[in-house]
Amino acid sequence: MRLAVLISVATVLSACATSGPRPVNVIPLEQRAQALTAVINMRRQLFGPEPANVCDVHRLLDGLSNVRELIRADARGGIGPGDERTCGTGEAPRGSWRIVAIERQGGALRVRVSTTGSGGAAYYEDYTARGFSVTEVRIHDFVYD
Amino acid sequence: MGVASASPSSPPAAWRRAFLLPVVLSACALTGGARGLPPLTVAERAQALDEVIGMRHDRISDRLPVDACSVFLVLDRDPSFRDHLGSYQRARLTADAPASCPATMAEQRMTRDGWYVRSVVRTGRNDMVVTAVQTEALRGGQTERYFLHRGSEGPRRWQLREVRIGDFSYV
Repeated sequence: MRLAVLISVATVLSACATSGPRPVNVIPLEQRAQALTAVINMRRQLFGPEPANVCDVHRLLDGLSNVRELIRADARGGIGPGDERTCGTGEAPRGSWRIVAIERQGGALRVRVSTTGSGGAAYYEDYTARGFSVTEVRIHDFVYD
Repeated sequence: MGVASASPSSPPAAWRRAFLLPVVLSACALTGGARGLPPLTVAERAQALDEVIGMRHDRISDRLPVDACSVFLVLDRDPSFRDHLGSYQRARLTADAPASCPATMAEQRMTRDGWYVRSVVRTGRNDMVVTAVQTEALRGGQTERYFLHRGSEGPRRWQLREVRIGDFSYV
């Protein structure tokens, strides 16, 4: 009996060791597109019309070729000009704010934006997104010019 | 010199407690003194507002003016409250004269588009939070909380550490 239990435990541990830790940060594409839609709209509401970098959107949506179609129509105008096929070639347009990551945060998603202000001041903006809505923005880690 | 005993004509202790306690608690609510922390001076609150108004205007939004009456109220209704601020911040304030401002924050009505300071509260020996509301009749509004901290050495100026914006009601 004890031997059977030991063998079972060893089998389970062995399986875990070979498969490694389960990825906890895999976020479905649709949820990422919703969060990006929410952030692009909210950032325009808060800070003005400067559009998002098309290559950031492209990268965070798995490098798919139809990134603009994945973003809801009301936010498409908030994505900058440029052809996503040029992303990674050094020819992509650069702006003063970049979307750097999307992560899970409890039941919501956190979208991190890196911003460079006028004169070189820099800080991060963290958007808490639930579906197509932003519930909170946190601005932090100010680096004064 | 002994300790003077209470005179027969002085109010009873229970009456004094009932009267004074709400007054003391009300004063502490603004400054954070209720938990044994030193109250924020007018100069400290003004310096924090300088930091917050400057940061807001430079980094967040420069569209709406700062409601002067709300600043007047959180600076203890000092008639010369504008003098506590830097010239850059002073220029961001509306033109209200102190005489036309409400007597308390509770009476402050956000009837025009603008940015209103609601409170300046000490949350720790070296930490405070400035809460403000931005409101626009046609677009909606938001609540902003500015977290400030001062180091334990050096000039000990209050510096902005984080801003949290929420309670969005945009249409």
